[in-house]
Amino acid sequence: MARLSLLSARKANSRMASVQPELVPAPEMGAGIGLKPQHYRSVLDSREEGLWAEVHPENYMTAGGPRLAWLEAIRQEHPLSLHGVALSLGGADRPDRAHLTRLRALADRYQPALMSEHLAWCAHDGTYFGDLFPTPYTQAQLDRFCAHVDETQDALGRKILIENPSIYLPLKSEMSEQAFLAEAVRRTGCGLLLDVNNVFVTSWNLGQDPYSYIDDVPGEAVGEIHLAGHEQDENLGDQLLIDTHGAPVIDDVWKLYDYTIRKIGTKPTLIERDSNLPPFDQLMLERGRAQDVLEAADG
Amino acid sequence: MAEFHDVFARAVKSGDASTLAAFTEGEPATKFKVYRNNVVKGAADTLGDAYPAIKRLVGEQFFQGMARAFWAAHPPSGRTLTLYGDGFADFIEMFEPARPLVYLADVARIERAWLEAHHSPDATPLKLADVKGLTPDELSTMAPGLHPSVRTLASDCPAFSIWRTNREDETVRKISLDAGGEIALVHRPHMEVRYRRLSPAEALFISRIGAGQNFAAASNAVADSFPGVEPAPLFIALLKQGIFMGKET
Repeated sequence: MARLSLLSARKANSRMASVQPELVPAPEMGAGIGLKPQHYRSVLDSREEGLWAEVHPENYMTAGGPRLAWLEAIRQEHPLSLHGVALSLGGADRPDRAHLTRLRALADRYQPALMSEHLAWCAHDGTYFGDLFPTPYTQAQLDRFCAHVDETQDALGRKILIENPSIYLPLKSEMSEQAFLAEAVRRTGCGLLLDVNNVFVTSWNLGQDPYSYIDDVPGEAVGEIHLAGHEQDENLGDQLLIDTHGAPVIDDVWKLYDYTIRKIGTKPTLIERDSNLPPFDQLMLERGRAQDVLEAADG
Repeated sequence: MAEFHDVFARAVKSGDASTLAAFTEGEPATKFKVYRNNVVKGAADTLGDAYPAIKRLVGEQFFQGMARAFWAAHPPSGRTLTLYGDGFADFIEMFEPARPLVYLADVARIERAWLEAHHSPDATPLKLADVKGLTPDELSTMAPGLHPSVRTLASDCPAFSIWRTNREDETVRKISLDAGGEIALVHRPHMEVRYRRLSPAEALFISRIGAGQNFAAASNAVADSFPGVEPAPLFIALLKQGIFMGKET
């Protein structure tokens, strides 16, 4: 793994001239896992090469307490990613200023290697819904989304990555999701968090080809990849896949991941698991599979 | 496009997706349900994690119904669900189907106290060593206030015992409602939340310190109201447990 680190570092450096330095991940980031309180101790103690951790910053916006202390300790051992869920960048309203201030404070305290948010919305008119709602891919919505990303990047003083969502309900749109994201990258300088499972789920639900989606992604803008498990809707079965983060990554998504890495190169890759949490060792086996793909691609 | 967000948000709240058809490719009703379910289940699961004893007392199905009713009346407004549920205990108190469970709201208040103590500001409590060198006068006039994590809850029923057994024991202990009222203390002097039952004299001492009085005034209040209680050892015990605010470091 030491070899991979060196290679990644060199590649990153050669790219830095043309790409915003904020988007180039720390060279030691291989495959990471979503950090859950049940695994704090194991992650802190792990010396796996390339391991990194990702959290939702919203869960750490407390006055004090053990969560913050654990994050502080883990941050000393592994690179950290703050993956926001509540900025509502695809919403009608501007990003909540108080929330941006709290996010900035967390970033200043924990110095994450990566920060990301979603092409989605979750709050409206004073209510926070706690879920990621779809955005119509229209010109008017693109203008608004880019303004929200600009405001966020200005407030944070750094570039962020934007994640493609899982779509369940297709909305009337004027362009594809890929075109919407590519244009947002061009206008705001943001990067992309390519969720390969979301590509699979959305493509399945809309009857599209996930491989051609990957072909459309501007690979140089991708700063991170997500992998997760999905499940079938309890009423509609395989007509509708739901991005639950509650199951292992399926083989078809691993294949799509292989294709993605071959196509756009190695990127820090996260195994996301939020429910039906397996024991740490089991989760690390899945994470090891992603690490193997990254090492094979770089070696 | 603001109209789209208005319509979608209203549909999530009401569960009626018919107004969304103008914005969707194809019929929205069945697929829209995924979003509505995620929202409502997400809020109910968050409450379930924060109120495990309540969930155990009423069962999963009853809890889901009660949590969903709470969400409909009090959806989250802040951008984090970590402390979602403020007011849940008051809601339970007025929730008609839960009326026969007279202890439920107070148990919920203790759950809430645990959550708030868990996430409260980190602070060093006053230690025995901090006061050892003080003259009796200096100690008497000291009014440190309470450590920011300290919560006390007085209930007319044995809410603390009910909460504790439902939180800790694999098989819950039987608790008679005739056992009478209890006062609970929940706090986090360091990284771990602690809790125990308080005597009425201890609760009085704590409330006086919380109101900004000094140690002498709080001790006198205890001596006046509880003639049989010796204030000094009571004070020392509370001090050792990290109830009072330490000096600024």
